[in-house]
Amino acid sequence: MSAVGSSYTLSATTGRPFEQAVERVRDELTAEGFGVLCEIDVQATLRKKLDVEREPYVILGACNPTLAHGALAVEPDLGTLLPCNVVVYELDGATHISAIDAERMLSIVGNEELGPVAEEVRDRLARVVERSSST
Amino acid sequence: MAPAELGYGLTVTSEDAFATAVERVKDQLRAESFTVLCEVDVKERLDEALRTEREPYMIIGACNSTLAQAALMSDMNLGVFLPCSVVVYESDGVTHITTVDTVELFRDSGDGNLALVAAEMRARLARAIDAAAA
Repeated sequence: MSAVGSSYTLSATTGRPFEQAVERVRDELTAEGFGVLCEIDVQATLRKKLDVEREPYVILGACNPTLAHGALAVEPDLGTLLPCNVVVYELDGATHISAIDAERMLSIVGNEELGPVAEEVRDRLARVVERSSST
Repeated sequence: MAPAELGYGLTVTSEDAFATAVERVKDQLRAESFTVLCEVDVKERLDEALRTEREPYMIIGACNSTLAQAALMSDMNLGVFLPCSVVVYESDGVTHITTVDTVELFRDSGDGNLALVAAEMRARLARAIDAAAA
């Protein structure tokens, strides 16, 4: 089973403006033990490269060191699916927050030893999305 | 030699030392029109956080703007898979280079345009790691 299908993300919308939503996601990631390893401003990147005008869109690359260490121990090439991304974007006036569904994504690896780590990452990112979007 | 398939990645080994391999991968990604948007030094991060002593491991986040834009046109949430990660790591004295396999990642999407984008990404990433290890 590959990752993209009916649902490969954990998603929510929020009434908060984009910038505030990004801050909330950062805070909630920290609360769940994730460091933000990289932050990509998609709007600025594509504007610079392609001269296109998009709505605000940021990709936050998040890593929980303990869980990453455990995952790499059983699947050394797993770094190709890391860090775990959470995206925040504006679309038609609403702010959207989506995190990768780690369980679904890691199912394509076919390594059963990853099961518990995948579930743990999924649960934590689900809480991040839920709390970031709640009032 | 064509990269070996992992089912979620494509992998090759290199005779270069780790640091040289990282530089060569970045050069080859640029040659395939990818921009390196981020570099994560996994060894440094995990050693610092967990007091471990890992072997060298780097994640390189690569983005081809045209393909990324096309992917996001298909599905706004696809940013959770971007940028494409290419890893370089040392294990027992051998340098490994592995790229994510976008075709496998997006196989169930049922979106013909996205399948074409995924195939183009995969072809470029495969050439990049192959050339970096040659």
